[in-house]
Amino acid sequence: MQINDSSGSTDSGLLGALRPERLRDHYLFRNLSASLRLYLSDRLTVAFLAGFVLVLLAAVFGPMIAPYPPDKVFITSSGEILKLAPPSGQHLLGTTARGQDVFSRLLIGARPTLFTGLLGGFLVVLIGVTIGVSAGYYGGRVDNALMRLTDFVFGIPLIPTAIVLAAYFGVGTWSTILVIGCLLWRNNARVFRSQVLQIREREHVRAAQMLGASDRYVITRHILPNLGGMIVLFFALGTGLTIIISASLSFLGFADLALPSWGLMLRNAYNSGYMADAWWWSLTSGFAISLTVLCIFMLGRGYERVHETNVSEF
Amino acid sequence: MEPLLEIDDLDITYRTSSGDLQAVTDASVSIDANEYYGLVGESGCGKSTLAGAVTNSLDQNGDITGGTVTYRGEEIQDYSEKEYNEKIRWKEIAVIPQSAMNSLNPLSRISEQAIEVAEAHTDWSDETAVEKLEELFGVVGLPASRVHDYPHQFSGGMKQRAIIAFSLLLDPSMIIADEPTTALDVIMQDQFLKHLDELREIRDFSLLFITHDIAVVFEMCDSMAVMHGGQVAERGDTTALFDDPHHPYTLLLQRAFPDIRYPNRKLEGIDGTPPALESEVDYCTFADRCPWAEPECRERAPPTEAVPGDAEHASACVRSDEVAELAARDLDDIDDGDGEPVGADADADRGSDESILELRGLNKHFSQSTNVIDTIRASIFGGEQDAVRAVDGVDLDLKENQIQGVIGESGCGKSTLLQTVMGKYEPTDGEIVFDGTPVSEFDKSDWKEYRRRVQIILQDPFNTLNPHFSVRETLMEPLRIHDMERSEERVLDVLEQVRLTPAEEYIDRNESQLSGGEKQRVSIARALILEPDVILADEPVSMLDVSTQASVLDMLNELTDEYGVSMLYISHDLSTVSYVCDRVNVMYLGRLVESAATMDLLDDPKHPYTRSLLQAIPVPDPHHEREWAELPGTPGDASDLGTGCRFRDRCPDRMDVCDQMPRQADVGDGHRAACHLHYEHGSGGETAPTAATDGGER
Amino acid sequence: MSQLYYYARRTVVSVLLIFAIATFLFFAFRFMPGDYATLLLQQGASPEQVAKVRQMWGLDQPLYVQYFKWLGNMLQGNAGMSRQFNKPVLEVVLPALRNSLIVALPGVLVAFVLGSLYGALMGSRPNSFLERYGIIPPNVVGTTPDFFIGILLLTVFSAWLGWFPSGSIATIDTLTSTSGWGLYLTTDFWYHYTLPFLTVVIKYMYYPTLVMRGSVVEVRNQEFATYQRLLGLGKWRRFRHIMKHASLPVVTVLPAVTATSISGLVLIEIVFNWPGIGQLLLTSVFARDTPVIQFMFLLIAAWIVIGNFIVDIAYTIIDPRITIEGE
Repeated sequence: MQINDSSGSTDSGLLGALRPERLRDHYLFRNLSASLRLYLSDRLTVAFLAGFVLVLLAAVFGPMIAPYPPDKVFITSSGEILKLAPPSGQHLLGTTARGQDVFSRLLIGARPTLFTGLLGGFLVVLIGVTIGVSAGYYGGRVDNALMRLTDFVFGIPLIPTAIVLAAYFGVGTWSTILVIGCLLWRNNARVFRSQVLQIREREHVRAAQMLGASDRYVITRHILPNLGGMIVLFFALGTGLTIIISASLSFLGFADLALPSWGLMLRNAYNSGYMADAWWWSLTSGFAISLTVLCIFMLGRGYERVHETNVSEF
Repeated sequence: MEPLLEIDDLDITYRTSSGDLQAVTDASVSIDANEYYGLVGESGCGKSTLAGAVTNSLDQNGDITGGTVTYRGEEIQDYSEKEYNEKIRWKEIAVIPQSAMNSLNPLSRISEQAIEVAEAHTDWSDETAVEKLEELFGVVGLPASRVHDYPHQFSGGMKQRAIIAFSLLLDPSMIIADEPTTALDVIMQDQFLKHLDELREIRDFSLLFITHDIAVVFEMCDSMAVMHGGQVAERGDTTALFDDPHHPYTLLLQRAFPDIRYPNRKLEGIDGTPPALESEVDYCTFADRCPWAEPECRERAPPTEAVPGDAEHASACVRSDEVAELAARDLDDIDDGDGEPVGADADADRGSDESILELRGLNKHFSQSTNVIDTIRASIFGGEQDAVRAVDGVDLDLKENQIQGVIGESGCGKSTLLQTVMGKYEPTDGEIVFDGTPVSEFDKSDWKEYRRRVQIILQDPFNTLNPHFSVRETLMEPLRIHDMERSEERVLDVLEQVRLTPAEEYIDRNESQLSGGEKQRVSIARALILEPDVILADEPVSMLDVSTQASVLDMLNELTDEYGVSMLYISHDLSTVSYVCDRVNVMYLGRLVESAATMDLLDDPKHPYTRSLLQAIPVPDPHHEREWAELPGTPGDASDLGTGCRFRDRCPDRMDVCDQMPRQADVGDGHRAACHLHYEHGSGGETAPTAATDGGER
Repeated sequence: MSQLYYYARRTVVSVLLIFAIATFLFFAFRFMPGDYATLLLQQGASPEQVAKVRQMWGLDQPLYVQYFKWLGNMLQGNAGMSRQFNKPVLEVVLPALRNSLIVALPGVLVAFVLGSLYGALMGSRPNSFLERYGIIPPNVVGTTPDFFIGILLLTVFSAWLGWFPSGSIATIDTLTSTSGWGLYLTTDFWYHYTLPFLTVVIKYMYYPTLVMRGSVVEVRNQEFATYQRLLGLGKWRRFRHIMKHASLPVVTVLPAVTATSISGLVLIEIVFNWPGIGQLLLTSVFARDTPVIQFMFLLIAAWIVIGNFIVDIAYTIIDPRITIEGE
């Protein structure tokens, strides 16, 4: 990014970096590609990546590739609703108690589920990094205040609080994500802080500070790049946890009933009373949640191998 | 007589994901009973791996692929862990690990740990084990009553001694000490060596002493072996290797080592760096660094052959017999200070009369408590009783184009001093004057200018560079921060200044493609690129191998001459400090206790602490009889200090008056010492231009 | 002075903290929109009736008066009246809490013991199959929502195999024939207890497993562990030493996890129709029964504070390095 021709004209910044030959040489790209190669050298990781890509495809193209409209009620030849039909060639995963195609609903459900998760994960990491890095980098009173805040947030029971807030303030997808994001960052803020405390003492950071670099410069060029892998990890973990928690809230009925997420599907199946009989309905959505989160978690955990660290704080 | 331990043609290979790496090749060493044996080499030379083969503690991926280890006539290299534990471990061969500080289990009492060891190898009762430990505590000079303490109740030096006691617990015939002094300050090292040395009188055992410090081996050991790149280059009697080295590496290593007796001697680094491990070694690993290498050296591994007339002395060099001649032909004589001074005294008159950086009564105290209640209590009941006085009344005057050293043990406050000067901490009291202007009067643009004109070189080459940056990005960074023209030419220039040539080859390297010495050069280049007036150097060579140290030190010296920068050089190692510095300041628990031109300080140290420091430095000469420094205890911590002389509890010359803080007095020719021995009391007549605050403080 | 002083200070700080949380909760719930009275209004009560109800509960008084009244009551062990049951809050909450704790505490403890052992086993075998792939099962469990674990167990062991009942704490007969603690002595109760208990164990093994694994790997590489190998101490003895060290971080998280487990029980209790505080919370939320909700939040927060206090004291016993004064 800082490469200049000998005339000395400066064109740092993003535009300069985006030229292909510069991009290739840019340090972020270099490191990213190197660790990606190492990352994908593990077969297990590749398998989880494949799983995640599958869910991602379902989330993007789900409505297009679903065999039936999700709300379509199927009628048998004798004119009755095709209730709880077991899996068949027609209905890959059978039908619900209302005669709707489970497979199609599963495909449709990927989008709201994943969307909630990614957004929540983003929020979690954003707040966590901001608080953790500020506390670790500035130290002293800032650190004290932020860590007391973190302690306080740790004392808030997550699901009960979410339930109360949802009940008193009304239910909405956005507010659910907001509540989750505003509570879950507590886990990673501490880890980011302790990481920054270490990185801050590295000599290249001290050297940059001594050179008179601004705090912003040091944080963006020396601290954040060295946190990179960990940010990815916590984004993954945050995404997974948000999916689980929002599914839990949906299961309890605190969710936008118009959004056909997997959690809501599970609730409908459970409440229908046909849970034991129609396993293709009740269990598939649960497994879909579980496997999606597993793939995301394990992709994050791949970080531990690449960076030879252990993050067990979550 | 049959040797106690004989290692014969040993090969050790590590199996890694990127292929096999041969760490030790055809190594042969033999150690007699009751012999102290030194194993010397730079980092990565395979010395610890060799010891691992003897102690059956190689890493899981390490295998002995050839040769034998014979102990008391029995081959032990193929012993299973169980067999080794039953027959050899601790009863026969005990170990002193590298980091005695953290080796004892912090959650158990020391006596409990001894009982566990006895339980694992003997049928002693618990009482017997504890009695034995008490006896050994007496041997190493620890009070027997403290065997039931927890490790954290011991100071660092006491833990060292406890570890020695542990190694003797089952009366082994052999003790292997792996870099036991590397992490220690010079005075603690001295105490450790003293205990080991005294043990020879009262116990019968052999010692295998593994270290990178050839001086320690020359002092302590009867015989030695020198390793390079997994091969034993030369072995034999210590004096034989010193007087008549038959391997170029031994010879050059000796010359690279500073000797405090001859501070004027020129140190000579060894070209190149220790080789990386290869899958197969069938050549002389030193050939690439050797000034007298021949094609043959790269074609086959030189056989180890005895030196004529000395069956014990053997060298693995095809030109073994010529080494003395070659050295005489190509190298200058090792000068003993008679020749042209190169080191300490070379630039005694360097430096102008103009001050560039002046510290006046500088103080930096840290308050210890961070919680609210204690802060309130302190504010009610007065003062910062608990404050750590890391820097306490330091006066220092750095002239233009001068190198001044600040030396002291870890925890003496020298790093805090440096960081205060650099503006990381605000001084509690006192003033920093840069180029005539007090730092406290700086505005924002002055600070920016200060940060351009004052640069820093830090200690650890392994994290001094951002792993995400290339050399180019690292060197562009200062220009970028100071909005200066970022020209590639400038970067290439500065790379050449620090002798990284050809510069074009280095500029695009990543951090991981540089050796330790090269990283440190890049870090020096980063300091130089802004053409600073002052460089603050914090132990810049302490983590480099000795063969690399010399050339970096020389470079610092030359840069000062060439570009007229000034330097404040901070270190715990008086040998390197005296080599580069024109003037040396000795720091003890936050205060400068002595300050003098380098040669004055070395020739005639005034303060008892300086004397001990000088005395504690090992001398790389087996003929030299050094007396141990008599300095009991440890510096303690810089909080609860009282008002007297900081050094009084350890001082061999303690007097009543030492309960008052001594002031700095001029003892002639700019030589200043803060000791009651060196000025007359009560008269107040003599001049002490920058007398520090005295006893009544606070 | 130090030891006593430390405990005294910790106690005072803990009490103050709980007090602060209680105060926070009081005001937080006062400012929530949609209180019980408005709910009544929505249900068709006349404004006069609502006003009467507000007056009955003192909701028409100024906030600070309400606060001090509430504080005075709390100090006398009176947490107010539940609006939905018209009974003292304590009488409503305590039986539910008992039902919850009897699942959560043993469940979490068993999970911690089993999880720690499994994690330690994984961590102490470098480069083994277990280290490589053993991490997957706990992750599978950790990524499965707890209510879904419950549903799975119900589907398999209750619906398909018929080994266990499909929910509730006991049959009606047992419930009517016993009172108070007597319930817990019936076999019928334990028959109902098994699946919820298993769900808690399975769900909460994940966390200690991961923490312990990481912790063991770290401790294993510490210098004292290397030295103990050089000393030739037996495998089991070294393993025990490593476990002792490595369990410190696991112990640290125990109170926080038990606290979250109590709140996490909401879902498991719904699935198994278990009359604990989770279920109570949900019904109270739907009924806007603020005093009950508020008190339950206070209980959870107090549990975390007290739990941390206990852990700090336990630490000083396990780890001699932690000196009381040093803090």
